[in-house]
Amino acid sequence: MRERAIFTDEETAFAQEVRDFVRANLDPDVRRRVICAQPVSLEEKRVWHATLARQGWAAPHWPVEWGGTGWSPAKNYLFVETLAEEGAPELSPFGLQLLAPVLIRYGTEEQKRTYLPKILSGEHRWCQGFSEPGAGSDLASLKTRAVLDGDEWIINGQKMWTTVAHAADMMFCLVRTDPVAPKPQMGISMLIVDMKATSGVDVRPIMLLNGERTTNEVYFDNARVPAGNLVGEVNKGWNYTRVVLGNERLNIARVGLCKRQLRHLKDMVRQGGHVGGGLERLRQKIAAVELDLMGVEALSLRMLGRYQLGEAPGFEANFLKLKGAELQQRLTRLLVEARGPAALRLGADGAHSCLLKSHFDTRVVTIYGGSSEVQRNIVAKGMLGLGRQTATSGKGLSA
Amino acid sequence: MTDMQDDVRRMLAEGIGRLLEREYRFDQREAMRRAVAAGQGLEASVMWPHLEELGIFALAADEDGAQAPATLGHLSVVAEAMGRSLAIEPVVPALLGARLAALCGIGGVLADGQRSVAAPSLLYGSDSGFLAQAEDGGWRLSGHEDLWLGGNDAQIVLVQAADARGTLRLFAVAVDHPGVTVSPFQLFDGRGAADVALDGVVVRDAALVAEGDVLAAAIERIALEAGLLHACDAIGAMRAANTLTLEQLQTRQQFGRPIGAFQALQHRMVEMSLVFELADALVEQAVAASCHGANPAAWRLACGALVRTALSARQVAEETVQMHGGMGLTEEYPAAHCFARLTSFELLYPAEEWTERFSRLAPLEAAA
Repeated sequence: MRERAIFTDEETAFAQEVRDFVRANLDPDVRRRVICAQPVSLEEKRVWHATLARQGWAAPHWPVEWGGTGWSPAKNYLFVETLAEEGAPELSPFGLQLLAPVLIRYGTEEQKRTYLPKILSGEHRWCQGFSEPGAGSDLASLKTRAVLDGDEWIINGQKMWTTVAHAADMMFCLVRTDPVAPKPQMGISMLIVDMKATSGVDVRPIMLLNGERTTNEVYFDNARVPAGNLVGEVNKGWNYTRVVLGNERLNIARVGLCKRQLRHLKDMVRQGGHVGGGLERLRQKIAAVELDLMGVEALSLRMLGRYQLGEAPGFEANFLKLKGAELQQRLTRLLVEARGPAALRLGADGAHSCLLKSHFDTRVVTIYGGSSEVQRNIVAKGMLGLGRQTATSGKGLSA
Repeated sequence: MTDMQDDVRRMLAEGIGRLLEREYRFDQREAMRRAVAAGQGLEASVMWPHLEELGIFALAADEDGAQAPATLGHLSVVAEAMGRSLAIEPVVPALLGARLAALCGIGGVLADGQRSVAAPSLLYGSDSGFLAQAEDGGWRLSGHEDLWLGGNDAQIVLVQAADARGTLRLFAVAVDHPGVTVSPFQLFDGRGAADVALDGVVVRDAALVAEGDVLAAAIERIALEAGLLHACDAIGAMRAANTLTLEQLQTRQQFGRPIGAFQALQHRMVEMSLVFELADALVEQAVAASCHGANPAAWRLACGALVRTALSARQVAEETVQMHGGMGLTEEYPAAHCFARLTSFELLYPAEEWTERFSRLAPLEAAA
């Protein structure tokens, strides 16, 4: 990093401090499993969350008054990428990254005082009730209804793909509060649901082929939550969703994670963990993916530079979501290829985890958080001005 | 975080931008292409004297500038502008010739408007095609190298020649020196080039420009800078191609609507923009890392930049023609010229070859 003269000496020293912290404070066995793409339990993640919280590092990007650090964008970027590179488990993003910025901006004082400290400490585990059976990429078509009845909202409907809902204390969800609004986006509100204390909430597992229960369906059957659980204003939920989905763009390509996976791949090949012939072909493929990672990192750093200068970022984040997700899939795929048919074994394969399973799990990254197709639509419309009837003149692609 | 731009760079970009808008519209560029086809050289160029006036060649030839970290960044702005306007004039080759001379400490000798062009082996980091034999008070040079970009307009050729022991030396030879044959031709992209042969050319010791450590350092650095400046040219050409293609999608009507209304084409245009952005960001970073000279970190990024730019160039070139339909094949419309320019780059800097070089820089066997 130093010879590239991209980060200052102080920033480079800070990254080293983060590195040292992970090595000194993270359970080595957890770290090993993260690096080898083996499962880490929710409890182990909670312990790591608490460790970061004690250091004051659970939510560096929050405002200082709520427990953030006031770090520059460059430091925030380095913090996240260094943690990932070093094999730290990722903290659940729902409370820390997704809801908190909305609450800080649009929540009532009481909501902030009630929820933010427990998100920060990790005491409350949150889930996000957005997707529905009929509303995936077309999220605005969601149908779960909420009707105000006195000082309570009554919720009816079904959410789907609700990650860790089975272990969550709280949910923030999108509900339809005006079914006849002129545009579907205009009739949506955001509500907070206490998953433990609310009756009429039924969480059912969705079993994926990886054999793990990580995601769920959530049924609401006349579930009642207090009127005060509305976030911001009624029918403005879609605007807040844009804030949610627009967060954490700085690290959207997951450069640190990719670097870690690349290192793991190289280690495996170096230690003879690959099978069969074709080492030369494998070497070329590894070089190609490493070169692609360099491009993604360069674009991430360019976007970071924009943030650092206070400029409005362009569509780098969409490009980086697209390309970063693709890279993650190529890396796990290469691990599988390197291992050959041995990767087919379910369960442990000698010193290796079931690499095919981890590769399979990675298929989700081009689907969630705005699928690759949706990202392309956003760039086509927003950056290139395509698909709009009014667009007639060319617009340069100046960086 | 440090800022990769500086004020000189911004001013240079604005100055060249204005110049190109005024003196180098596509029809003016085409006039120059036809001039080269007719065997004319820089005497036909309207733009060249203005570029000299802007001081870009002096910037490259400045020996103090050889050590100034910002210089490569400044030249990269020039190279990108040339690519963007698909310039026919051999600006990058002339900059590199002046730059190599400066790195060897003879920039001042050649600065007087004399155009030196470095041998392709120097620019692409391949083996030299020339041999040098010591003679009384001088050297006898033989050999040939093909495809000198801008060689048709060179006054001085800079050749690296090996003696019987394989020791390399750099010589500056005037093209009108007895025994020097310069065979000019035009590339498919319209630029001029030449094959250069030396047949027992006898030069005095004064023609020996550099040897030993000075030469080794200069060679290492000029290959790095050549790659990056050619990549900047390709970045400029990609920018032009993407702008044209986007206009095409917005204006060309088929099936009762602009073809850009079709999602299949939208997504392909997005991919073109994406591969452009990746290459642009990586080249910018590689240029910043290479300003202080050649070192392993700079080479690592440069290899990455060259590979990415070659892959992106090919994709952008092919998609540009495809989305222009038949118009993309015509001489009168710039799309095909973008294709030609970009194809030149990716054939001169093949992605596979530079991936190989990258692999050799950081062998898998070495500990991470």
